[in-house]
Amino acid sequence: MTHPSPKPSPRLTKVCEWLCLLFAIGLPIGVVAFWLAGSPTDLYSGIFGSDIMGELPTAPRTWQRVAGAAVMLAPTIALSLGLMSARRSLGLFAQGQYFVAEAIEGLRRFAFWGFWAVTGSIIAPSIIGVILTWMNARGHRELTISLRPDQVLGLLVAGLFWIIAGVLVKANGLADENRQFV
Amino acid sequence: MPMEVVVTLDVMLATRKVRSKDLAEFVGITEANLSLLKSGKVKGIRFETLVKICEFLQCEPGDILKVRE
Repeated sequence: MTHPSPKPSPRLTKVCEWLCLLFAIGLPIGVVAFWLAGSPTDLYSGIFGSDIMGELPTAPRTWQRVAGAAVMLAPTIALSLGLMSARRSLGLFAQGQYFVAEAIEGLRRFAFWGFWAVTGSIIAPSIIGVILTWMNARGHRELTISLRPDQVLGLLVAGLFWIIAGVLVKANGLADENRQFV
Repeated sequence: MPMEVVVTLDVMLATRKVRSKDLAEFVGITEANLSLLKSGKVKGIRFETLVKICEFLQCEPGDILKVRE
């Protein structure tokens, strides 16, 4: 039985590197654009789901849009920072530097920022729910708390990356020690 | 007093009138690594390397590695 080469394809690595850059820049811009220019229907349904639309007929005010954008930017920027860290690692992988400390540190930071991006994406809708319903009459304000399976999976992936980065740090130490044997 | 391993490879090279370059080439290691080995700035030596060195210099491991206080 033959096994595929464990060496990552430089072309695939390069593509992933560019995708990371694209998303790292595009996502925050997209979030701001969505919150400042998106239709009220999209904004409300993004937070509360389509079933609640009938109860929230008022369009969000400018301060609510700005606050919503600011809150949603927090997890998005965390994700962008994570993607930029991953991009640095991918750049080093493309150069054949798989076990250098900088590449491993990049993966660890990707896991770190990924964790906070997912955590932020769990918390942010609750805060935005309050912001969007702030102008409603007393008793009609909403606090939504939700945890989707993809968010749990995101936390798991971040945790796995963190552990893998830790293993790579150990492997790097062993490789360093091995280099001192002639 | 703690004991330490001292590499006396340079002495053996001089005795055998062998150039470092030739030994490195025979053993299959770089001259830089051989230099590190001669100066004792390595954590260890592989059996494979030791056997090759001994084969080339016609000596025993004890001729190039000594234990001293």
